[in-house]
Amino acid sequence: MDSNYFEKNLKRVADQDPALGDKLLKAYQSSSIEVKTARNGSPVPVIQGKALHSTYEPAAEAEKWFASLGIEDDGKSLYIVAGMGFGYHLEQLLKRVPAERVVVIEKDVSLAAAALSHRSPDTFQAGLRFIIGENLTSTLQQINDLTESTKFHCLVHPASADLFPEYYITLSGQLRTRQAAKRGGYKILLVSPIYGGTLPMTTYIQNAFNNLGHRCEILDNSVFRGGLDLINGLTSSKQHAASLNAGLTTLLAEMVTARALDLRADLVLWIAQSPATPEVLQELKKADIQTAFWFVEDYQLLPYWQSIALHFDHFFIIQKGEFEQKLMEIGCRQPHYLPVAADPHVHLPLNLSPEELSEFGSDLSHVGAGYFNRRDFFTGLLDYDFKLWGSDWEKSGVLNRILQRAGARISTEDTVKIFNATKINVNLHSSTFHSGVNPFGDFLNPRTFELAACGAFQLVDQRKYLADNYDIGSEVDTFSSLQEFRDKAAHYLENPQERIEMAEAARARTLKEHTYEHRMSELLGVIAGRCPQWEPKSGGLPTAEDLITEAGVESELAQVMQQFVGRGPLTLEDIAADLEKGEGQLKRTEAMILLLNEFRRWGVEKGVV
Amino acid sequence: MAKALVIALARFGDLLQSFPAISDLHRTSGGHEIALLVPDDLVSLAKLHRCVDEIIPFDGDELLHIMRLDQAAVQQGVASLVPLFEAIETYQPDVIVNLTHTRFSGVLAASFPDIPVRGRLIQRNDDEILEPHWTRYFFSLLESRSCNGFNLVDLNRKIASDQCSAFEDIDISADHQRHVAEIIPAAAQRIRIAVAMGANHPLRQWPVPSWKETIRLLASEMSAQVVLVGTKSEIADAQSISDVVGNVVVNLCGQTDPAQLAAVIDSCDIFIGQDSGPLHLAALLGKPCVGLYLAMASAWDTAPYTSHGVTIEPDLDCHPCSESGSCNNPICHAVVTPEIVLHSIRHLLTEANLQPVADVSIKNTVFDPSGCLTLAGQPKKGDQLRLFWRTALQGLFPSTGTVPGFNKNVNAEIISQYRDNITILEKKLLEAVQQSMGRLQEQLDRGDYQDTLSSEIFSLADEFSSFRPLFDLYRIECFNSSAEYFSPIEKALAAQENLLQRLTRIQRLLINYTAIRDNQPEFALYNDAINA
Repeated sequence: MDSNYFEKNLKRVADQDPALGDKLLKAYQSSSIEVKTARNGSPVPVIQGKALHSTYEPAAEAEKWFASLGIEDDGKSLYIVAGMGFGYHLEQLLKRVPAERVVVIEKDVSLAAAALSHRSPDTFQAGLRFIIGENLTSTLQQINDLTESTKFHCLVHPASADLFPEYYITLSGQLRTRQAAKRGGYKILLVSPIYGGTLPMTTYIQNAFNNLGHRCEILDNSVFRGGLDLINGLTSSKQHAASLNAGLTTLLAEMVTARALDLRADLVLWIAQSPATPEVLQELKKADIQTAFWFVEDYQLLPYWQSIALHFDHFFIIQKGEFEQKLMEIGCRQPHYLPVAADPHVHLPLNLSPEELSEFGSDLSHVGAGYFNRRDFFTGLLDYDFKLWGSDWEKSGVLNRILQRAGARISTEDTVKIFNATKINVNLHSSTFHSGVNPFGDFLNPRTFELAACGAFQLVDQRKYLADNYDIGSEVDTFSSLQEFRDKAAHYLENPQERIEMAEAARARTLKEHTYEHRMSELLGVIAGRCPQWEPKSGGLPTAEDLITEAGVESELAQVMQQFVGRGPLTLEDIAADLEKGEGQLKRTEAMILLLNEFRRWGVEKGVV
Repeated sequence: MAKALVIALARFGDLLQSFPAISDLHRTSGGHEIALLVPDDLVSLAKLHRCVDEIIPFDGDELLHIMRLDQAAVQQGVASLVPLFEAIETYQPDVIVNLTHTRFSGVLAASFPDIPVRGRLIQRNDDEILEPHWTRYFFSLLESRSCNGFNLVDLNRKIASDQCSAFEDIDISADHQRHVAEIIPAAAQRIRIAVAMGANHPLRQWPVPSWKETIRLLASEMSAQVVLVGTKSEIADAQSISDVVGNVVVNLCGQTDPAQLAAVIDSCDIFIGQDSGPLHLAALLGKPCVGLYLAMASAWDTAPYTSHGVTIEPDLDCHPCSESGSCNNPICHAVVTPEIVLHSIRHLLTEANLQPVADVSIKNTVFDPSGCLTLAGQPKKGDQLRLFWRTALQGLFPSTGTVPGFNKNVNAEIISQYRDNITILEKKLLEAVQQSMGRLQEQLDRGDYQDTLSSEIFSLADEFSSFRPLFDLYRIECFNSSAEYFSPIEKALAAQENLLQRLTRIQRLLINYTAIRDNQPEFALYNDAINA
């Protein structure tokens, strides 16, 4: 370690980004990174027993790696080096590309500080830009800002990716899917459940995919709700009912295959309770379609994951630790933690009329189903101006006094109004086992993110993952008992400005990190990162060559497309623009293409395409 | 018999407003067999027209689905259009009559280059041709709608054909008549009134309490049996009314397809509704009808096409409002009251005089001697301007039956104003044209065929805003004229020539105004209320 190196390197970084300089200095002062000396005398960091460079000839290894990438610089592209290590690979790149066109990303601040203290300022040249110690969302946002209108290459340092695969592999995948979106994006079939609390999520997810530039279609199974009710009420024989239910599941799963193949989907995504069978998943695999399941359920409460998780290519979950372990035990290779989120186009601050404020407003409110722990807890809040909204509150005794609309289901639109109109939204996660607050509660419900996105103030019961998502005390406040809730409620009712500031901070954080667009970007990034060959099939923009092959060389479409050969990916607009400019009588297919483009224009204008 | 393909990729009401044009094409001398291209959800409505020989449905939803999934869906998109092209090619029309005014229909009309087109046609390089001149007039209305005095049905007829025929072409089957007898209880001695409460825009929607009171009055004061018709979305409102008013109300909202709706309306004595599809259906069935024209709806544009109609519209400075506008205080909803509607119905049933009402204009629909629909009754602001330009355009674009010159209801003051201004305008126009012509030869010698001539004329449009319809027509013709002009400069020259000729023609009409007025056949546009 050479403190001169560190000072010089740090000054360079701090001149560009003072906050990052402070962060690195703190990490340097408390650094405990193990550093080995390679055979040739070069320093090599070792983390979790893994050396991040060759312990023989780190520079020679880096040279080989760089050569294997086969990069031909065009003189203007930006290079994103994912994984800083001790910079041997970076030196190779800087031999060919000026530092101004290189961005270095490092997840571990301590490792970055160690690199700056062990390697000379020649390695970290002036002009380099650094993104260090940021989470995935923030890193991606910064890269997006830098590469908005610039071509870029992402070079992932293999040893860093091996150390933090969920960071570097996902990040590189997200960058790839972003580029794919510019060429038309992936086609995604989203399979909805027949009913249940996750049903509204399908629309949020679809919007998120589409806003990211991909194309998502929902296979809406909710239309079978009536059929399911009919089946369940048809017979008192459990055997018959089970057999009929299995038949319905098979039918719905077969529909997924039929639609996915017809659509030429790149990905089929299921969310909680959506119907799937192993046979169908096999069929989709054969068709080279990625399959993923987002298990937005409590794994302890709903154990059906045991029979399905293994069959999906990708399994996304909202609980970490023990659940990940259990999934791996049954053969589900790489479960990925992906919390739920909010849709800021739906969950947003509203200006309510006096009538709406009167109808939906109160000091305290809760929108949700009548779970055991809520019934117990809310009974202790009856002395407040408290409105209880939602269904499944049958036989709720004294709570009937505060139950609104006789326990009718509340629409999303009204829910958002209630969130907005309430002074303190009581967000008590459901539990069927505990009275009041579940002391072991970990994951966050959608309501946490939705309230925050609305800029609505909430008191939420203590959850293990809450601090990963929001700053407790400045963005949300918590309670772990009825008495604590009452104390805090009294405080916040008396201090409206604190409520407003906290709710605004929570909304800002949500928009920055916790929307469905963030989640779906991560989901696609995980899949693309794990599957380097995964590119949009028909979802991506076709080339003239693709269209000629698909239509058959003898077809009139193939003849029309001849003039576009060698032009790369083409939009309908590209093709139509050239045909419009031409002279002479239009061929029939040319006329059809112009007509299609006119239809597309109309659709865009009306907002339906 | 020649064959015509009529493109009517329109909504329910718009398609109905094309029906008389289809009759003209079929019935007048040299008549046509007709194939009608319609959205697939309007096939049953299209079948009501007796003269339609073939219906070609267009499945826009399928194409939309493809586009939503794949912005580059060239191959699937082309495949989905093949049936449409094949159907048209198999039919082999001699003429395409495009009565839809979207770009999509314009491009579709141009997809069959060997077939002549009436209506909008958009060729390569955005080369737009609008033939006949009434099509160009139609598009000029996007700017000068407030001067329009022609009903949309008449414009469709003028675009489709040079001749008009009688229209009695809606076919109601005996089955449907029987069905109506089954679903509407017989109520002997009672007047049966069909009511359609719905409008295609929330701003046009007369409030439900007003409808409720109207229906209550119909039941209590006229002992009428009221049949509510409309879409599924109106079921709840209709039910709330029938719950209050009682069993004299028959709620058929959401229960009728177009053919059944026609039979239901046909079984009624009178129809009341807003400017909507059912109103136009009632008019074409010859039913006496009362139409409400609120917000952006204007009776001059879309009055019920019948001589047994009454239109009610607010006489407010803000009416009709802009199509794209929003309104937080739609006072037009309040000035029209249930009592006014009842008064109009009584007028239709008993021929009692229409009484003037403050802030509201009530008019009868009547056909003028040329066979075009017009309005007669309590005038509102802007009517004189509409009448002036209506008669001026009839003079400019004469067709069979047109009365030459300004009719007696255009008041002398307006004529005098225009007569003063037109001389000044003509002088300035000629100067502007001479200046631009001076540069023309030099420009053409350079091989430059871009239009630089029209800018001087455009600058006069603001100064002479009362001539806006002429300038808007000129503006349209600078870019979209007839097929014989190719380069921008040719179009601009032709448009200039048209403008100057039209101005001279109007000037001549204005000079001869008195003589022509005195020789006109007796034809009162306004009744006694206006003269008082």
